[in-house]
Amino acid sequence: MEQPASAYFIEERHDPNETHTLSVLVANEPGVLARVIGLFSGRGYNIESLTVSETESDKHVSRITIVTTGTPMVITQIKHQLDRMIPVHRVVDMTVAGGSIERELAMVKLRASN
Amino acid sequence: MSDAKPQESRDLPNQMTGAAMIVRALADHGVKHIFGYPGGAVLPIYDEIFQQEEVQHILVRHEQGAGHAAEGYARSTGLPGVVLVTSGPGATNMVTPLADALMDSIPLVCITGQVPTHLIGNDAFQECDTVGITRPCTKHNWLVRDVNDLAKVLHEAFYVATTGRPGPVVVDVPKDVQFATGTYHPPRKSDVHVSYAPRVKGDATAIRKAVSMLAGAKRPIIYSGGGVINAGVAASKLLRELVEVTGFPITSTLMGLGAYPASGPNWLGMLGMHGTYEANMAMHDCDVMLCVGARFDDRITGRTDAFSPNSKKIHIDIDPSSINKNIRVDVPIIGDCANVLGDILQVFKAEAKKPAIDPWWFEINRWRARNSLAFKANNDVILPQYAIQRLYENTKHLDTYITTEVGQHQMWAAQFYGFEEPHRWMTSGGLGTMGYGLPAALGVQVAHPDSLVIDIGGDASVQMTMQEMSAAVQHDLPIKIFILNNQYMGMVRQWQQLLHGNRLSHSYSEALPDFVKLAEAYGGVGLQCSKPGDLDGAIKEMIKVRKPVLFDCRVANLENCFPMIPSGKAHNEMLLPLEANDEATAKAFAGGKALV
Repeated sequence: MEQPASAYFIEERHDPNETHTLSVLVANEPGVLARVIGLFSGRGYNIESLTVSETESDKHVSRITIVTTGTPMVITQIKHQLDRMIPVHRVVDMTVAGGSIERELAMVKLRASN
Repeated sequence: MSDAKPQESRDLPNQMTGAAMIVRALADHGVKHIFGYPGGAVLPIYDEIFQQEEVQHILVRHEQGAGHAAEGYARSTGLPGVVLVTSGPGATNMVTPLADALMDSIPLVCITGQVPTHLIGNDAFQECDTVGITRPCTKHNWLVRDVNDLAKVLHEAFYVATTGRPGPVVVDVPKDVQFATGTYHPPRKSDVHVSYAPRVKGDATAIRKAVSMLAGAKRPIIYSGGGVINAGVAASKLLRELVEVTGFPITSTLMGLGAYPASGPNWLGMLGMHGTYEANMAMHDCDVMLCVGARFDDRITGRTDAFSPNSKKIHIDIDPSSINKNIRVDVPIIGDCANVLGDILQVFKAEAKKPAIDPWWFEINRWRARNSLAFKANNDVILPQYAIQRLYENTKHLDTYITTEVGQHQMWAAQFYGFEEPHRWMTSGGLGTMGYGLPAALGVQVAHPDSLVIDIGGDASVQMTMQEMSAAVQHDLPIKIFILNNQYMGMVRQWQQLLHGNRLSHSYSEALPDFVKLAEAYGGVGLQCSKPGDLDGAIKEMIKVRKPVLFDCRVANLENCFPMIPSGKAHNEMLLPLEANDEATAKAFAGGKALV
């Protein structure tokens, strides 16, 4: 590979991308969503979709569900990077763990004429 | 009776203001020194500091200086470095040291003042979103909105900073929380998030597997890093014992120097971009690699698709995200270096014997014979390599700590100064912060007042935080700033020569200060030396002075740093110093438009 003049080693990676659904159990405290999103933008990971909501109010726990794409190495990195954040309880890769249900909800507005 | 209650509770010893809690928490965590700079949003805390003697405050001249000083303090003691700065610019000036500490895994606890809670979000005077700005450059951070949360957060901050993979944390405390009265409690287990539990002990099956790989190795190498230093003196002792028991060659990253002594028989020198030929060749040709507390960073690996292609790799790291980040490894072991090394040693001693690797050593010694750090002696000008050699020879018998700035001088220091013990070498490895070394030396000297603390600097780097000379004079800290003055940003120039057609765009300092006069202006001592024959005498004089010294060491201006792995090349394609003539250099960098 022809290298441009650079202080960094520039390499192209050709591993195929995979789509994974991650379920992240976090402490429900201010700024926790910003930490998770900041991790994705800061390290250049993709977010295809993201939902957040409190799941166990008495335990102050929220669940963040993220659909992301990346090479297998990147997906592993994402899981580890999420897991080492202080307020993150657990990261479950639903795509690997299985047993999860995926549903999409569509709301369709129809214009009805007489 | 009910009327008397509030009166009583105010007299209870654990009822106090937020500001008092902060100072109390520092004392409870055994903090002796903090580095800081006052301002509007931290005045209540400074008022508390004024009224006690347990925690000593070191006033710096710029918040960045406080941050790097705390890093130097932390790295030379193994204790957390503590910083206190005000809101707004105080906090933003701390961003560089925080990012630096995060990259190099240095435990820092930074307390920042914040505008009163009711003004947050109002664009108040000296307001900034401190937790937002510092979120990506800390291990964790907190904004404390209720004084009754403050004690818990401070204790958790110390715990998070110092356990697992160490790192910087920020506690942002609004001014009204500093004034408010609440309940303080001493550190307790429940102060920490239940979700934070770093793994310390390595998996027993993985350790067994690692030992059997080590025992069967024909061409092994140990590659150690800053994690061994962070794991404490015990980890270095265990590493030395492992080298002794196995007879394996050992190399180290920039951050790991001193874990194994430079005078040790199995030492190959530093590896990586400016590492030794023998270390890089052994990495490339090994069959079993034991990576201890290092992270396969891009300055180490060269091109990753050609990195040590035929080896099985064992990787010990406390941070699971370091595993398989850049390089795929065969046996990952998550755990604290000292703990895992202890277990490996125990199993190895019980079940394996020293592998016979004489042919491998024979090969390594052939690479060693290439003498990749050689340079041509010169009687007229001081060569920077020679300057470091002489500095080493004149200080090695003393109780010496070395810090550096960033650039060519840093690489020469790593190559030519021999470190025998851990915690003696403080340098900005990951972030590569010019201006790190002078304030870091200040912090080291605070921790070790009677030791010799030398910042090996460059003329460009050292000017970035030169103002801390004033702090050194104020606090009677006799740091020695040994400047390899070549009038260039040497490493920038080297890259411009090698990769950008020798167009030296803005890498020459047209107007350098007179460093001798500058030292005197600060109330320190200035020395200058430009002749190889005078160098030893001048260094001896520098050591003798009990004041901060700026040593202006005039070195050969155009000397470059070799050996070197050119960009896009592998470990076995190094460019050696005595072979780096124009033609060889052009060929090595042929992919670039450089020397066309």
